[in-house]
Amino acid sequence: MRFIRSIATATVLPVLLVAAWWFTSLGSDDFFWPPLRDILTEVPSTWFEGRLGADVAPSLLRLSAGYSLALAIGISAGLAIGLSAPLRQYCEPVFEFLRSIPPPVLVPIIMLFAGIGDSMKIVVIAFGCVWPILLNSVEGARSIDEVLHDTARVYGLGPAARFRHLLLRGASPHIVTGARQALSIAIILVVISEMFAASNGLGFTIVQFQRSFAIPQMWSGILLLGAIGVILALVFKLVENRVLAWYFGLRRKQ
Amino acid sequence: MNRVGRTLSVLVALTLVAGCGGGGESADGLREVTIGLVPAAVTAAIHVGIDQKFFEQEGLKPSIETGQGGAALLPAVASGQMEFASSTPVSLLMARDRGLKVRAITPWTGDGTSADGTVKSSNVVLAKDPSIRSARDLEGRTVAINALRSVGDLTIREAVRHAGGNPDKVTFVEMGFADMPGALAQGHVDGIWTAEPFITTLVAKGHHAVKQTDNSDAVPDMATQLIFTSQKLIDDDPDLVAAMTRALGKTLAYVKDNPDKVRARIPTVFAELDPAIVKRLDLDVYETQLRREPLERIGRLLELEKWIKPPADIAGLLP
Amino acid sequence: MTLPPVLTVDHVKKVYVTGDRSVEAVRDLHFEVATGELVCVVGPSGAGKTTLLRCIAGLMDVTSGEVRLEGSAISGPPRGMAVVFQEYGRSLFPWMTVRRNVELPLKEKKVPRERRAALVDEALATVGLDHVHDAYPWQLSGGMQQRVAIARAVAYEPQILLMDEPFAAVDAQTRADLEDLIRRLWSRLGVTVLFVTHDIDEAVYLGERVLVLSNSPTVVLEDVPIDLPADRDQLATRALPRFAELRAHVYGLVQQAKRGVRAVPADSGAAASHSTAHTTPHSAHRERKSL
Repeated sequence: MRFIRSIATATVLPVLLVAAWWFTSLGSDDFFWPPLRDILTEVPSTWFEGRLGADVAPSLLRLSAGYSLALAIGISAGLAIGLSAPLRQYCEPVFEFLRSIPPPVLVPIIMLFAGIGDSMKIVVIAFGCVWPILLNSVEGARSIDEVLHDTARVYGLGPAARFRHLLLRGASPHIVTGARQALSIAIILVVISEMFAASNGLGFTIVQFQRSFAIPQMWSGILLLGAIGVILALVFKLVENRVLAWYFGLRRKQ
Repeated sequence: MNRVGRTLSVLVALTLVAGCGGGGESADGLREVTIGLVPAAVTAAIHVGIDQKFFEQEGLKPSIETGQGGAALLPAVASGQMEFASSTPVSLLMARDRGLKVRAITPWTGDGTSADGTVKSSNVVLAKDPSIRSARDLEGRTVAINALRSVGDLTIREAVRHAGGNPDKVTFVEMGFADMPGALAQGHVDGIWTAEPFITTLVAKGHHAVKQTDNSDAVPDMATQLIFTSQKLIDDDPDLVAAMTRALGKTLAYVKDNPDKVRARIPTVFAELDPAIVKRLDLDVYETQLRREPLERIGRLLELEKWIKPPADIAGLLP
Repeated sequence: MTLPPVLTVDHVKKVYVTGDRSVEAVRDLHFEVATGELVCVVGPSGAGKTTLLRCIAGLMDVTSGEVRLEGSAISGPPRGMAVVFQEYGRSLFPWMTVRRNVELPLKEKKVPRERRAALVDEALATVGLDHVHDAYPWQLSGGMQQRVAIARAVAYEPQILLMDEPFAAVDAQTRADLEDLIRRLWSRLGVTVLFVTHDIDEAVYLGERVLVLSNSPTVVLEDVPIDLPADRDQLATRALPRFAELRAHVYGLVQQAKRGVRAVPADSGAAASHSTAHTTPHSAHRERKSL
């Protein structure tokens, strides 16, 4: 019952918004603001006849590659830095500098060493995503209780076990926060990176539609992008609920 | 140019309710109008026209808007945010094909034949690899252009086809003109579709122009940009459109004969431009005649590429 | 008669140095714990009890002297030692179930799976927690959480079990239960225990020996043998006149320690030496009844 109610609560506003869009746009003859009905009619022929594999799949692959790279680098570097106060002091100004550079500005530079292929796009995504993960991992490592560190040492936990059972899990509430921020950045950067030197991908296709005045198709692409964002957020929430079940329980208890 | 900005500005343009332009009347009784142009040194010509009072004589007070990228100008004019703007005939024909009611009023820039009889071309493919000599050698290669589905790929594909090659075997990637020399030097692309001042610099570094890839090879007397407005404005305010057409016509005729006036005006619109480059700039680009043949040629290429449904709406585009 | 010591604290000195300031926390600590002993360490607050425990556990380097476990000097936490910390809520991994908390050190020790399962079952049964294997620590009461920590230490099969004021944060009733649990574990499993506390009653009730520490910089003020019957009971034992005597003696020592006394005159150990029922650790071990 509560489950049904929470589903209802989560869907009522989107449904209202879509309905509002549907009815306000129904009689629109504005070229750039076509009726939602026309946009939705375009969806099957635009996306389900080859573009899912040709454009959506490459985008998703780039997204997962860039995001995974950012997770791997951000978590491992962040935890290492979080454990060492001197290292933290050395690195923090540099991180503040690097994280304030918007990745799109770096695209031409990244293009020079990473080329114009997928590796460039993956690097752009990873570069943008790594900061919230890294900085939150630093915080996460710092937040782990001294007594737990002592416990791990006393009971002879080796480096691998300490990383897996103490650092990773102990920092996981912070890491998840960073990873959630990074996920929305990743989606934005997939689209942006595909505006540079791309020949396929969702972002690329949307810009091509826009440029060739295929406006309903362009809108359908934007809708698809939004839908992918919603699905990824849902998947993230599922993973989060699993990984952080202990944390939510602990917080409820306190 | 900034593609992110372009996309965003389109979205902004879309969300703004149509019709916030329209222009008013200034204190001196002149009609205020906005002309949207791609940021480039050639915009100085309008200032020369203003200096010469061509617009004032027609009761107009134009302001020039270069803040938005090329792709945002079409929606801006169509939605009435600005009255006039420049765009490529390729974009305009594609827009008409999709049902966007835009119409050219005057020419703007082109690859016209210069006074001394030589063809001035704005764009050509440069390569580093000496084995890429002619358009046909681009098969299996990657060529950088400033925008996909626009003049660059349309003319290069035609050049390859004309040379007996298969244009589908050429890969096009999109990047800003400024990023192209680096990508070519690093070997990320095999050819770049570029213009001055890059051509002179790169040829001096040992790069060479690929034969048959001039715009003029695919489309003789190519019009690179036209000034256009919306059909709605033509219907609602034909006098304004006529006045603007006359003022622009006078301006174009004047700057064609007085390129030095334009050159002198460039620093006031492009303060950051290197004076040495200003001195070298080829300003023999202004068109005075809106010719039908190059547009028909472009239309045929668009049909051939299936970028539009035949027939190309040349009559709808021309005034 | 004398078993070799499990633990030797050999003239340990600890000086904290921060910048150009140095603070001498422990001056000279010297004592031994024999196999199977249950030794309590008591001292006024600020006596360096925690410093001492961290040095013994290998969590902190000593400035001079050394700590030996079964004859070999330690540098870092040695394998044969388990620690129960005061902060039960902070020493258990909140993301692991009770069972996994107890099991993790055994996995690290590469104890084979079946043996591991048996040890965990047994340890949890011993502390009376066989019904909460799959609960998370934070779902349990404070006393139960400390039982989990004790089970983890016991399952580890250490040569010595260090306990750092383990019951300071639980209520009185739970505390009494846990004290009896420690006595029971000690006599049944024969595990050697070094129990640090600030509670004089607890030290006398639990210990076979009580080491009274001086104020910081710390030395051992007196090593008091506790000659109470091995079978202890919260009511009966605490009602014994000998318990009161020993308690009073230790209390007096702690008061002296608070005043800054660092050495006790030879005859002041009277309360202990008069005892006729002096029990060596060894004999205590033998008299132990199984539960």
